[in-house]
Amino acid sequence: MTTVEPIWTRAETRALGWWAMLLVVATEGTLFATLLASYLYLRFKNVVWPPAGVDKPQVLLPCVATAFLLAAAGAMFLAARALPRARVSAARAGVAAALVCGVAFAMFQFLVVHADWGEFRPSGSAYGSIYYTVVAVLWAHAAAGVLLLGFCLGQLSRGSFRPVRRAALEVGALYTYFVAVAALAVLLTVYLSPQL
Amino acid sequence: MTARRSFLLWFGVFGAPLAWFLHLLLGWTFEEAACSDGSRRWWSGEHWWQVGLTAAALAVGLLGALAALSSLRASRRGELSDPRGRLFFLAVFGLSASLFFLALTALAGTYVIILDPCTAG
Amino acid sequence: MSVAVDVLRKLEETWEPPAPARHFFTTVDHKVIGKRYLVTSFVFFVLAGLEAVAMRTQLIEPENSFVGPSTYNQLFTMHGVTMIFLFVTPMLSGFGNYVVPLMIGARDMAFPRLNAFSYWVYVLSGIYIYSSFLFAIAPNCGWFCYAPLSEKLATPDRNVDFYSLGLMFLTISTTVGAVNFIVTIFKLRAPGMSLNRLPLFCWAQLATQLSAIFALPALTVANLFQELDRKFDFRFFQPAHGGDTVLYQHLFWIFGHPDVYIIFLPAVGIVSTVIPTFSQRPIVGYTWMALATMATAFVGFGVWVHHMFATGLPQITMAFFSAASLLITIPSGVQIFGWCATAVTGRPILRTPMLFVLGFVVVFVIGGVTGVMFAAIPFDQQVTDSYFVVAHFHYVLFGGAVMPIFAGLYYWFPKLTGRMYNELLGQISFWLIFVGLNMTFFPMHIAGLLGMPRRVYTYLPGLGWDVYNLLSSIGAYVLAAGVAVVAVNLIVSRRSGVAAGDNPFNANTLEWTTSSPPPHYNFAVLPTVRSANPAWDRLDRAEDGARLERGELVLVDGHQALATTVNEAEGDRVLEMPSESPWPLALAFAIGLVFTAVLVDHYATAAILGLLVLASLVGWHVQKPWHHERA
Repeated sequence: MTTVEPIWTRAETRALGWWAMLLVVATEGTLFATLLASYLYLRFKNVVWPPAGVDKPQVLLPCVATAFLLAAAGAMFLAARALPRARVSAARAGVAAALVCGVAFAMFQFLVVHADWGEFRPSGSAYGSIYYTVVAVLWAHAAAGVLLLGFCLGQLSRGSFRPVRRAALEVGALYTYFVAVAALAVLLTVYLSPQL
Repeated sequence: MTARRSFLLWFGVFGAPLAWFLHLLLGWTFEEAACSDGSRRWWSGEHWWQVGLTAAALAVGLLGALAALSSLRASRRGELSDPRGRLFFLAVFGLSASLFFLALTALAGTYVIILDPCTAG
Repeated sequence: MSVAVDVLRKLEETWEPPAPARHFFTTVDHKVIGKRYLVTSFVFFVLAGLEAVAMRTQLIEPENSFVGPSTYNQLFTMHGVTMIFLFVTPMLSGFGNYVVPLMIGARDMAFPRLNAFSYWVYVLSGIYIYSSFLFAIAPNCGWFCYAPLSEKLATPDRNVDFYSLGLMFLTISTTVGAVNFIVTIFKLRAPGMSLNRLPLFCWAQLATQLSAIFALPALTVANLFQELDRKFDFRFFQPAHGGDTVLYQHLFWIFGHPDVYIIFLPAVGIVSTVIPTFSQRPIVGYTWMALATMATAFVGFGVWVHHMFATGLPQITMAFFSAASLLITIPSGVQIFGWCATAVTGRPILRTPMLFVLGFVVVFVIGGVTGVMFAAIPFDQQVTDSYFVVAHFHYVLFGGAVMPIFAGLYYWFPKLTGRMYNELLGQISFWLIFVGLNMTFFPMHIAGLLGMPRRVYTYLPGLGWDVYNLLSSIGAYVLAAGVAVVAVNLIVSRRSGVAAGDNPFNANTLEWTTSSPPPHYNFAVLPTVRSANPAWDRLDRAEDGARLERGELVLVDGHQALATTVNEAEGDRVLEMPSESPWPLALAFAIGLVFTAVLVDHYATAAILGLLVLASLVGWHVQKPWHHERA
């Protein structure tokens, strides 16, 4: 018996999961926008920023860390392009590279925060409170991304190309782009703008 | 439908609302920056910033309305392939939305131009 | 004939749920989940109502001692929290959950397991928040819980922690629910249901859920900052260390104002559904009705400062928000005119759902008038924090949300249960509620203008407030009686109501083209749609019947549903839908455990329980997409 007329064969239409991830990116992006707006709000209210006794934030390590996330986004972009052309091993390599970059970001960012922790604490000032909160939320999102990429890698390592695996890769790629953009926004707001 | 037509259709729907929203967000940020202790040294809060922002927002809103009007005319002339009437719907939707959001921008802009900056309410 | 019989048999087998005991915990059927939302939120409505009755009893006369001030603070806080977060939004989600897939001709929501998960998180977060009563430390800071009252110095006990953490927990449910609704409405519509044929109820849900996506993060940030200040001595809201209490107000109301539209818009969607049916004509001005819904949601993000007009902000800041607050009434006005035009040019049928909708129009317009008064800053600053505010928001919330909810309960009751409610009892319940609510809330306008502040547990005699409070309290008892009649009507009719048939009201949307209640698979043949009133397109529905005979568009090769394109709703792909799964409940429970550990400051335990959360996530994603246990 016929189940459905053969009208649709568009292999390039987005999986439902991709739409869901787009909305997750929208809501989490709004979360970051709210956090950074809070940062600016508190900054507007305080004449001395950072407060007395706290050095301006370092710039080099945060730039390196952010660069790793941007690289991860690039790797995922290439992986997402490779898979529809059935170049599975290239896609796997891209995801693996992105995962490594994500871990590198987490390590470098941890080094930055560790150094800061010795200098000032969240309970010392509103500056400390918002600084540590923003970077912790970014770090948590990056960590979640690493887990997601691990899952994508697992899906791709099961051998054959299947639509559900392609969906996982597209979803992982979209999330990675989001975290990279968020990291860039944090870099500009929290690390670079106080230098002005 | 060509890329240009598609752009006009969606700009007709979203242009004026986004212009209003950005006018509100940026105008509010300018005012907060001008009137807060920590940011006063970077932002003089001169009034012409608000005037300029309002003018820009109204201009974008107007362009949105014109884009929607253009889509509506094209739809009426039968130039768009529209078997389910969706494009006509979006054109009317866009034109009505544009007019409403232009009014919103104009009212807020009028207040902002008339009132003095950094005066407590 | 045999083809049709064969198709139906296969669909029944494929979609039939397993044994009831297991099914209770593992179901992902949107109809079951929708009904659960409706019942659970009604229970919370009753709890919040009892809290209100307790407050009104305390205020029935001056210097009363029915409850003390500390209990009173918990009562008004929990009344607000329950009504807003645990009743009205979930109730309207429940309607959405049940109705939206049916209205768009789909077999389920886009993500059935996520749907189940959002329900379990809702129920568990409600229990989490209410468990505070067991320890007599229910939230007591007002439903918006401002800083600095919420800081540890002012409220050292865990009242505020139940509030912040409970809401963060609940927000997970609302957010994933929003994702689910939006993807469902975008991708699962029946072939031919282009955007200009989307039912207005679905437009309203779309506007609501998009608002939720962009509004909820601000609440999460507010709650997060609040908890960090309390638990770890962060300084967000402490001016002595560079913080600012007004920041909390901004964050809360950036969420809070869109939230009132998250409440109002689905209710408006119900009104836009009931009126055409009970006027027996299509809605007047469909395009502008859809636009009004979306425009209200969007402008709703630009008015929040009107809750802060008394905080000393600069005039120009307030001007932006005042302008938007004045003009946001225009889309609502357009809708009122559209509804009135539909009723007046149709053949109005004054049965219970229509009565509640007409009641909504009257009550909401009164609330809207006082709302416009508030948009004028000088007036607002005089009546801020008085009973005038309480009167205003109860008119807009009760009128704007609760009346349509009652309309919706009566309207869709036949579809959910297959039986008709009792019309006489329905009309009695309407009049008791209409009279009760006006009697309760109208005198509050006068008490407020005479200077009575809100959130006071008692008042002195001789201030001229006594008679208005007495009237309000009596009104509250009348209102409670009306709600009781609704409950009795629905509970009794479920057993012994007259059989309803597929479409007892001759309504125009697709849910009425399938049986009452619908089969597990909703539609044997996926309907094709050629107008905004598909149930009135007799030829198209006859063509569905013919397709069943030919076995076309029946999707019987598994637990299947159809995805279509976003703009034109043309066929896109066939989806394999998940069936039963234990993981939504497991994940919800694991997250609840984490929140509980954090509540009592056991962070190491919380981290370990986080591994349970991860394990549940893995289990969920490893489960095969469709699992049918029949041999």
